[in-house]
Amino acid sequence: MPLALREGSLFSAGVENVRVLSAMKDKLTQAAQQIRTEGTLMDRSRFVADMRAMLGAAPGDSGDLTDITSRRRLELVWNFQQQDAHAFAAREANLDPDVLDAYPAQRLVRVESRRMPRDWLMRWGQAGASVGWQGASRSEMVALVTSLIWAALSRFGKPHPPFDYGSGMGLDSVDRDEAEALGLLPKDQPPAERLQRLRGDAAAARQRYQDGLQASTRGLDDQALAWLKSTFGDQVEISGSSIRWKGGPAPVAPSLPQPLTPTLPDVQRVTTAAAKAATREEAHAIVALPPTERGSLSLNPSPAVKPQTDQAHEFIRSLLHRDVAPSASAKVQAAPGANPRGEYKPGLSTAYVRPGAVGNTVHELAHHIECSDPEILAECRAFLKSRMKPSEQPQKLSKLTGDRRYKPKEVAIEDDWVAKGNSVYCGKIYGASADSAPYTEVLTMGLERMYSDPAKFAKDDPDYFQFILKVLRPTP
Amino acid sequence: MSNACIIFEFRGQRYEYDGDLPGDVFAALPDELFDAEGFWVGGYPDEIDAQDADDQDTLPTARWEIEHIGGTVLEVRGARDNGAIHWEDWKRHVIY
Repeated sequence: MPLALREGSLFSAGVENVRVLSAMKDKLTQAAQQIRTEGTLMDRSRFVADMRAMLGAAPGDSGDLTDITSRRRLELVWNFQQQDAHAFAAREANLDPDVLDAYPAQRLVRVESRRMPRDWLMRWGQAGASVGWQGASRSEMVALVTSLIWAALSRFGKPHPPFDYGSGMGLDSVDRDEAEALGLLPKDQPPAERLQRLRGDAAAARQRYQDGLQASTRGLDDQALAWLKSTFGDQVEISGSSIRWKGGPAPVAPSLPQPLTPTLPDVQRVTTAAAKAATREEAHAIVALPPTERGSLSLNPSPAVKPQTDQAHEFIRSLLHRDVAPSASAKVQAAPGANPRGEYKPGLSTAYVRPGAVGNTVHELAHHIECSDPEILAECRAFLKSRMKPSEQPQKLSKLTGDRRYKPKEVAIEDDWVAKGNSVYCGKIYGASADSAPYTEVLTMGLERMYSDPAKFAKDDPDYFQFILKVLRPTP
Repeated sequence: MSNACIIFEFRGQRYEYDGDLPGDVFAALPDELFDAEGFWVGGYPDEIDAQDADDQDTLPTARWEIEHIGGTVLEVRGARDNGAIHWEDWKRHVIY
């Protein structure tokens, strides 16, 4: 079965009903392409509810992994596919020659604890031996991004996580100095020669992945081949004895069952409790999602700002649901100069942060989240407009604040931001109007305040506080 | 549009202002030009507003920043017919 089609949890778990597989695939595609059905985006809750309805699940939940109607089993399918898609996107970003030059290697690390972890050191040894240790270290679980060891390590033959079902293992970037120290790369290679080699390695890695998407039709009967063709359409090419994954648009989805209504997260109760918290840490603990629900950002921080990026990321993860976490990656670098103003450049997907300032890092990463998700941008824009007074026009920030340090054309709506303990900067309008603003400062300022002063934020401006919690969770 | 930029010279080298000063230039500037929050000390002069070709023109601000650091504007590219450059016209968007 071709690599792209034998998606582990869909095929290997004994689910052979064509209708079920087809529906699963359609919903996962909707999620990946952010297609709205019945007015809302596909998320994990809805996927599970829809599939249970379609499968005619009995009331209650067996919780059994062998039961295709159980929430646990369906959530496993969803989680696996989401992780796989995000990891693929992260790998593509890491194969960019500039990124590859700065971080040419990666380390296999545990990202989630397991009660009975597998012996990954042993698997590393077996995988390394199978590829002749090409580009891989024998002493540490570190290898070049382009090494063959990653696909050899994976149960699914893919060079990125997840490497096995529920493995809890992930990757951490390794910079050039460390890769050279481990002997994975020659030292002091001329830059031009180095870049040429990196480009060649990245192209070869992509080609290997494409080649892996081709496999034999041996063992597949006519019915199975017909199903592959009807389900994946022109995405697959079946020619003679081989199947090749071509990609491209998916076939039109069949009609879907009506979704069930998932449970609404009770952000109001959380906000009330946070407002009463005695300390910042207590408030953070109150608003935090359960660890299993948390999402991650795909970040490539420079070594100089890695500690503050890790801290900011950890805080954001505590609020960012995994069904909402964007898959697009971002670079994080120190803003130049001695006392720089932090900034985000959407065209470069790069956050330039004030060295040592975790709050500012939270702020700039929030720009990345908003820029990566049109749905979040639309919600932030709508919130901003909801705060405009009737017929209110944007005014210059320098006039609203009396602070001439703002650029003359930086404008904002006044609202009651300041009266509610915020900065009027929350109401900043980028571009011609709030209706068409391509960016806002709603999520950035809200998340930054939630990081620095959560209890007072919840008390002074509960609507804004709740909005921040809601926008980082799946749409009910 | 989104292709506006300014070619300028600073300390004998040519640079492109694409919506903001380049990182190399920022890094070369003396600390005294910025306050603790990374803003220009003293802020922007009121005169900038008076130079506007239209209400959303950001070109005078960009010119001021270049000249404030001792740079020389060599060429303005991608301006509108009235000579203005709106925030969204710049080659690269910068958000703070």
